[in-house]
Order: sequence, then structure tokens, then C-alpha cells
Amino acid sequence: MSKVVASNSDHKLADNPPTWSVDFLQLEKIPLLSECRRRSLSRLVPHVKTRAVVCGEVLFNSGESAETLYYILQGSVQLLSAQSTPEQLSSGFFGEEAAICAENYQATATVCEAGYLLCFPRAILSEVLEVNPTVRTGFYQSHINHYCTATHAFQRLNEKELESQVDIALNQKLALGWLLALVVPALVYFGLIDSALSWPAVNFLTIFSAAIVMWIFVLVPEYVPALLVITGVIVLGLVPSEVVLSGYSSGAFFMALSVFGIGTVLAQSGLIYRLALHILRYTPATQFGYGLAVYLLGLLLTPLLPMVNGRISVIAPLLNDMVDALGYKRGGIAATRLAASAFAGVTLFSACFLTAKAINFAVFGFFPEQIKTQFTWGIWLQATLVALLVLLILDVLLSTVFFRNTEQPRLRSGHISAQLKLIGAPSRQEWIAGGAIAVFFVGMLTAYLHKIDPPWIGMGVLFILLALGSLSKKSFQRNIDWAFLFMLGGFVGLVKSISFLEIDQWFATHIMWLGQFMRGNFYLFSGLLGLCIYGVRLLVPPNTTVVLFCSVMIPLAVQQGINPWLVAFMVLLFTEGWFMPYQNFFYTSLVEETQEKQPFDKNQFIYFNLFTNLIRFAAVFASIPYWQYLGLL
Amino acid sequence: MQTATFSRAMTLLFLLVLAVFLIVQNVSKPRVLILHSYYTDFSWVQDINVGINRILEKKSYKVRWHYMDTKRHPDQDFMVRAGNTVRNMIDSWQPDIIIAIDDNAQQYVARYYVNHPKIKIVFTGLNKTEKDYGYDQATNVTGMLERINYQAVKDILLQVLPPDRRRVLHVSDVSNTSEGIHNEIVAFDWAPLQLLDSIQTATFDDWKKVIHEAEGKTDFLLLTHYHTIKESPTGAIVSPKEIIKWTNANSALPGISFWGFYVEDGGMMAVALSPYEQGEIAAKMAVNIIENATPPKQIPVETSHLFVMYMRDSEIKNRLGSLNLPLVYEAFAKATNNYYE
Repeated sequence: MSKVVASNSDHKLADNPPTWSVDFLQLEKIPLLSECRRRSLSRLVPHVKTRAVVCGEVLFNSGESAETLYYILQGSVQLLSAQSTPEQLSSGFFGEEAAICAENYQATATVCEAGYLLCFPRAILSEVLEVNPTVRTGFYQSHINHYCTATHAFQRLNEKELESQVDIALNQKLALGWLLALVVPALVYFGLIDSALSWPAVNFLTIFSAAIVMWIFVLVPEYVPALLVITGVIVLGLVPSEVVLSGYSSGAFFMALSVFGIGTVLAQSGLIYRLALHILRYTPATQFGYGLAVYLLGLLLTPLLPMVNGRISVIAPLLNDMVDALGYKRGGIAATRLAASAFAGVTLFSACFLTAKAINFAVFGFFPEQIKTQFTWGIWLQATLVALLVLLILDVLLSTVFFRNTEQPRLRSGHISAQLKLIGAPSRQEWIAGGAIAVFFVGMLTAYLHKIDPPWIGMGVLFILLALGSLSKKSFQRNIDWAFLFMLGGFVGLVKSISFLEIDQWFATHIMWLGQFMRGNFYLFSGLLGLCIYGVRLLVPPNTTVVLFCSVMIPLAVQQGINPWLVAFMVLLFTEGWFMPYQNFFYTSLVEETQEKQPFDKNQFIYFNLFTNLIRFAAVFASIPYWQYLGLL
Repeated sequence: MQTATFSRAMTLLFLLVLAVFLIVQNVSKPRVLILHSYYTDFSWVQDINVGINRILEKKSYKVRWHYMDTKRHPDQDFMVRAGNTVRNMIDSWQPDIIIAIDDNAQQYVARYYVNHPKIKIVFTGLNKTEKDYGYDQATNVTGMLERINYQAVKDILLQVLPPDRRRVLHVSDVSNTSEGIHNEIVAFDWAPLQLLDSIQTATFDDWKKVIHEAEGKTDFLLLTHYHTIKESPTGAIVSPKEIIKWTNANSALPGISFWGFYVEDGGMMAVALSPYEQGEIAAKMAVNIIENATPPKQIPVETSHLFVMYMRDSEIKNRLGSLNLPLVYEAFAKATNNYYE
């Protein structure tokens, strides 16, 4: 490989030049660069040069154009800037400004001890880091570190220690998880082999218990354990393949697929942004008004975009802009109230709409056929109306009381009109997205006329979008959550297998007391179910919690003559509750998406969220008389 | 530009025609609702479905199956609620034909559609009479009555029991279905057998009492339905298997039933109505109405005439002892895969 040494005859060279040749393998050993993709590193090789430097040589001055990133192979360099104390480096990178797209160097670099440096030209770095964004983030961090004080350095050390501790804890958790993935199935197998269960049922539960451990400890991505069970079941011939694979031909699968497709077109069209501007345009200029507006916007998005993350992605930039536009103090009470409203709007009602969340489709797939035909999109919404209203009203009231403050929104008049003017008339994509949504919902609400079941209405709309080219092949591949669809099909197949093997009946006879309790006092049952789910959620991820509870509770409800939808709805609603940030991926998404501007106070937000958990219980209790009125209970 | 517009217009036209085609074809497809009074855990239901599927699986109808589950939940509130749920579904889905199976489906759903201008009713598994549901005056109803072959049971008992041991006692639960059976049993001429009584019991304690008291006073038990017997008047339903298990353990009397589930639950013998026949005939009637546009009133109501033997070897040996059961019954049960060890 190339080795270029730029000598300087006016200065004395280092005594022991390194035997470095700039090749792929050497670059791979350098911190940060080691995280680059191998093809990227390979592209760097021809452009990197080794440079010999002598004591006192000035490599660059503060304010000079940042054209080169340096890495110290031998010797040492001093960085001197106006903002920090001089720093002497004998290893690592400096001149990171060239890597992070800053125009000029912020310090002067002078060689203290002769040696050798690797030089990375800015142009090639820019191309390489474009496809390795995390490495660029690393250079940002490295750059910041040069200008930190000793306290900062201490903090960095602590952070590293903390990271290291977190890594150790994570590895311990994984090791324990894999160990239990071996032990638990063995216990299940030997514990059940002499029970009344059949041989296929015992083997099924053995494999299923391994999957449950994998889900609980998050040993692998969420869809992988479902595939493990399916593969195990088919290999051992425990259940006919048409049963265990039935999830992949179920209406729920195609419904989810079509809603993902329609949601993608909607999200990409810009229609939501236009809708948001129109809502804000007519919002009364008060804190309450703007809070309610983002709330309603979230509520409107909930049935349209089945990915909660997608809804967060829509609402987060809007939140950032609104906090600035309304003149709220960042991290202040008014801004936090707005953030809490925005977050509640897009997350709180996920159980109230069939199409609000991907896991809802899986639960729909668990239902007996006659419950599926009973709970169309409209009937699902009808059955949740009281819960929805209670959630909405109590959450708005609670946020009004909790976030009392005197800040006044100061939105410039004409601000929104100007934005609307700027985006112009609706584009063809927006018309198509709006049309698709309209056809989808009108189709579902008029199913009694055309007799086409909802999944196939969804597939019809998806076909239209594909035929019109609104959903490109690339988008179809990238933006549809295929991993979730695999998981959904697997979940449905698992529940069907449980039913086929009569494990549900066996299990129901062992928890008959719970079934009678379900029939005896539904208020008490609901409350205890909620508490159980909150307890389980401290350890178990949300989708796994839903699957575990639904696979037990739905057959039990059927056996007890309770409409299984009621139990499923409560499981979905309570599973979304959370206390700690780690329990809620969507909260961490919101934090990440607004990290740059940090518009809200996280502590207050989390504190407020504690109370919203109570609202979920209130929504269920208030719905019980309504469900009795509807004849569901 | 013009070409692009034309192409777009043709795409939209194609999609429109496709949508119209699919909707028209779908709407014109016959819709059949199979409405069961009970749930799929009941072998009677499963076997009726086998009979229905023999006829309907090759037809391109839209078929929905609904199970009211009133055997496991016999309380009035549940049955009314189950009936309302189905009626809401029927009003929305508008099936062309309802195949209503067993009495509760008639009582809580089908009778509300008597003389409906569009919906036709085919009943099957009907223990009560057509008059009980207003079907005798209806123009849109036909079906099949579920009538027990009492004569076949009487013949078997006469062959097995000596002249001095011919006392028979009928015991069942309290339900819509049992009410009809009770009336038929009481009305049937059992002579020279002697029907001591026909008793309906609501609770498991009542059942136990009747079985205990029957010991020494009767020679043969006629056990029909026992699926709605509760632990107490307000308690939970007792598992049917548990009832037969207890009866076997606490009574030395031989038992016979008119349904195969009795033997599946552990009982001795059944001269059972054929559930396959009930399903198959009803489905054939539905096809006749759909494909030949035959008015239901012109299709005569049929009565079940096939029966199947179910036997449990261990119980026969324990209870019949020296009594002689002709081998032909055992051969029949074995030939139809209804002979249990």
C-alpha cells in the first residue's frame, strides 16, 4: 500500500520513524475509524498520508480553514485556544473541525515533540462520514473533549466508567437471559411431561417458554422468538403448518400491511403538516388552546398512522417549532405542558382505535372469528368512546391543573398564514393521500353495504396507491415494518396453536377461580388486571406483555362468557402505562427527536405522567356501565 | 403531457371498474349464517359442522359461523345478550339464509326473522315444535326436527333387560332443550318398560340426590342433557365430564343416552341421533333455496331418522354383567369409530 512521507529538510526528523504503512488493516485499528464500514475504510486508504513533523512546527493556526484531520502516530502536539487551557496530546486525533464540517480550526496546533502524524483530507472524510454518521458523532465528541476543563475531563471519565458499568450490567443481563432460556424450558418440559397435557402440547410449551424468556430479556429482536417457535413447531410436527402459519394468511396480517402502506403515503405527502397548520390557525391564542390543538392533532393522527413512532416523528419537530414560535421558555412549565399534551395526543388513545398501533392488529388476530366480524373498525371505536372521552377530558384537566403558570403565548399574527402560503396549494401526493384515507374509512364504515371485510378494503386501497405510483417500490420495501408483520403473523399462529393443542382449555381449568372472579366483579377484576400489568411491565417489554396476557385472558374470557374484546382492550390500555422512561420507547423517542432544542423539562414531564396512569383506570371503570349498556358485558 | 393525463385517466378508469366489479360480485354472492346455540367444545356442534361442510365447502358462498355458547352459559341474561349480539350482526350483514341450530338459536334469534322479506331460515336440531317458534305460520322457514329414536332405545332395553327388571328413570338438567325432551319422553309409550319418572335437576346436589335415590328403585338410567347443571343455584356450571365421572363412581346402574357426548364423557352407551345428518340435511335445504330459488315453505320439514351407536367397553362390562347385549350393536359402534375402551 502507499506510504507517503512528507519530509521537511529544515527541521530535524524524529529518531525512530514508525514502520507504518497506511493500509486497511492499520486504519481499522484506529479508534473511531474502526467503527466505519469496511468499504469506507478501504476508500480512505489512497488518500491518507503519513507526515513527519519536527518540534516547534505549527500545523495550523486558530481561524485557518480546516482542511485536514490529524492522528498522532508518534510525538506530541500542543493545542492552544482562547476558550480553554493549553492541552498537550501524545495520542489520538486533533483538528476534528475537518471531520465535523466546521469551516475553521478553533485552536493553534504546535508540535512539541517530533514524530509522525496521519493526515486525512477533508474532502474524502466528508464522503466517508456521510455513510458513517455515528463516526461523525464520535468526532464531535472528540472535538468537544479538547476544549473541556479538568472538571469536564473528570466528568468524561465518570461517564466512561458509567458506560462501562452499564455495559457490564447489560452483559450480565444477557448472560442471565440466555442461561434462563436454557433452564426454563427444561423445567417446563420435566414439570409438564407427566401432566394431563399431550406430548405435542408439552413440547410446544417448552419451546414457547424459551421464546418468552427471549422476549422478557430482549435477547434478540422481538420478531425472532416468534420465528423460533414456528420453526420448532413445524420441525417437530406439533401442529399442522396451516395452523401455526395461519397468522400469515389472516385478515389481521393484511390489515396491518395495508395500514402501514397507507400511513407511509400519508406521512410522506405533507398532508399532516398542512393539517397541523390549519388546526393552529384557528386555535384560540391561549396556552389551553394550543395545548388542546396539539392534543386533537395527535388524536386525529392516531387512527391514521399505525406506527406510534411515526406519530412522534410528526409531532416532535412541530413541538420544537411551536415552543419557539409561541415564545415559551424552553424547559419552562408552559413548554412542558405543550410537550405533555402533544405526547398524550399521539400515544394515549392507541387502544381506542383498531388502526392506532401495530400490536392492535395482533390482538385482533387472537380473537375468535365471530368477535372479529363483530369488532369492525367502527364498532371498536364505538365501544371505546367513553374511555376515549374520559382519557381526553381528564388528561386535559390534569395538565391544566398540574402545569399552572402565567406564561402567555406570543404568536406573531400572520405567522401561520405565511407558512400556509409558502407551502402553496395541496400537491398531487397530498390529494392522493387524502383520497386514500377517505376511501379506506368510508369503505370500512359502509361494509354493511358492499359486504367486503375491512382487511380487503385496506388491501384495495394499498393496491390503488401502488398502481398510481404513490407508494414506490423502494418505499414499500423500506417503510413498511416487515419485521413487525413477521412478528404479527407469528403471534397469531402461536395463539391459534395454543387453541389447537387445547392448552388454553387446560390452562383455563387451572385458573378457573380467576374466570369466576372475572364474571363476579368486573370492576375489581379490571383494577387487579391493571395492577398486574403494571407490575409485569416493570420487567417485560410492552408487546410481550400484550401477547402473554392476551393468550391467557382471551380464551379464559371466552370460556366465562365475557366478550374477549373487553379484556383485550384493557390489556392494550394498561400495557401502555409507564413510570420509568426505560419502560416507554416512545417517550425516549420524543426526547431524542427534540434533544437539540430540549423544549421541555423531563422531570416535570415524567412526574406528570405518573398521574396519567390513574386516568387509564378511570377510563376503564367509567366504561363498564357503557359496555353493559352496549350489551358487551 | 396529454399522454400522461390520458394514462392517468385510464389508470383511474381501470381502478374504478375493478372496484365496481368486485363490489357487485361480492354483494351478489349468497351469504349464509351458520348459527349454533352452543360452542365448538361440544362434539355435537363439531359433528354438525362436519355434516354442513360436506355440502357447503364446495359452494362459493360467503359463510359466517357464530357460536352463541349458551350451553356453558345458560343464564337468561347471557342468552339474551348473545341473541342481541347475533341479531345486530344479522341486521348489518343481511344474510340470505340463517341455518339456526338447536333450540336456543331459534328462541333468541331466528324467530325474530319469521316472514322476513329477504332472510330465509333453515332450522335444525330442533327439540321443541315448529309452533313454539311461530315457524308453523311462516313462509320463509323450513328445516329438520331433532327427534330421538325412542323406539330403538326401547327395543335395546327390551333385549337386554329381563322381564322383572324393566324400570327406567329419566334424569336431565333444566333447560330449553331438556324441556322439549322431557315432554316427548313422558308422552312416549314405553310399555312393557316402566318409566318411573322424568326428573329435571338444576344443581349438582339435586342430581346427586336423584341418582342416590334411584339405586335399588330403578333398573336403567336414561341420561340426556346435563350440561347446564350448576354447583349451586347461583354458582358455576359443573363440567359435564365431572358429572358423569361422579355418577359412574356413585351408581351401579347402567345408563343410556340419546347423544354420543354421554359416552365421550365417560358414559356406558348411547343410541345417538346423527349430528352429521342434522348438518347435512340443513345445508342441502339451504343450497336448494339458494340455487333453485325454492321457497322454504315448499320444502317439507324433515325429521331425523338416522342413529349411531356409541359404546364404552369398560362400563358395559361393569354394569351389564350377565345381561346380554347383542353383538351387532358392538359391531355397529366399532364400524363407526364410536367404540371406546
